[in-house]
Amino acid sequence: MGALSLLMALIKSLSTDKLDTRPISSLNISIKSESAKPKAGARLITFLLICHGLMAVALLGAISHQTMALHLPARKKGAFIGRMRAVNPAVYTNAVIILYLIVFILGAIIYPAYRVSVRTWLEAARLMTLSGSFEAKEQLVTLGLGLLPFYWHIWRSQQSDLHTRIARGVTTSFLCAVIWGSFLVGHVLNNVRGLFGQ
Amino acid sequence: MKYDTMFGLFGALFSVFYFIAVEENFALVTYHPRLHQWVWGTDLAITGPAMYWYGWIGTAFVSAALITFAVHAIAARKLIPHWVGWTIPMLISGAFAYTLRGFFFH
Repeated sequence: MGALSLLMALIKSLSTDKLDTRPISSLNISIKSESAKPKAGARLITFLLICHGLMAVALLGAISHQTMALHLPARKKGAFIGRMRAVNPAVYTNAVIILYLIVFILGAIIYPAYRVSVRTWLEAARLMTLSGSFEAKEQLVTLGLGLLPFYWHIWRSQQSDLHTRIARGVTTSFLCAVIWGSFLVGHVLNNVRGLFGQ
Repeated sequence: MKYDTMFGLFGALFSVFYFIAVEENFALVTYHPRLHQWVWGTDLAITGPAMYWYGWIGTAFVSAALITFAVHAIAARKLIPHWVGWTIPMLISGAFAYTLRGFFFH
């Protein structure tokens, strides 16, 4: 619910006129010229950022399949959605954990570049909602990291009592919401200068 | 696995200690991205921003792991109920949403 409310606040803020609409040139922010060649370090960050995004897409697929198969199971394989729901949700557990760790580590590696370049730009441009969205992403993704051992345990467990089913449902849904929210926030921030830089 | 019944407790403790670490700024390490320098503990910004996130994770991980091991040593045969593993992280995520509200409702 926390991630959902933050995402709604983000969408709401994007539709209001609270954003600073002044041109970049009046914000006293230095921007490198287009002709400047990127350094090797910058190219590596870009490469890692793309890997981070691609891995996040794979993670989205795995957690979405698992969440749908858990909450909306289908007995027969029908069309596209039916086949998506008719899988055994437990088989995605290890993939979700491994992909989550890869995406998390890649994010941790490229985080300093965000902190130095992007966040200072966001603060100078007074895009506080976007800056706060990343703060929320940072905290919720870390909570998700701490939940991974428990998530693995409840999916590995052979028990199917009510408490285990509730724990599976809530934990998987939480991770799904965190991953979707983080992906959307990251996607918007990745394009922030194109979206809000004019 | 020997410790798997304790994973719920670890998740709960990790979230609580992470929240405390963020709110009180108890960072195990600080990273200065402009200087590419790591410093033990919570350090003030020198040149450019100081990054505490890695340190907060370290603080939460070490604290939660130590207490989980201690509880396991004392009460190894006691099963930690499943609800502990998910209710507390959910409450902590709500607490984070509350502390970050200033970014969204200004």
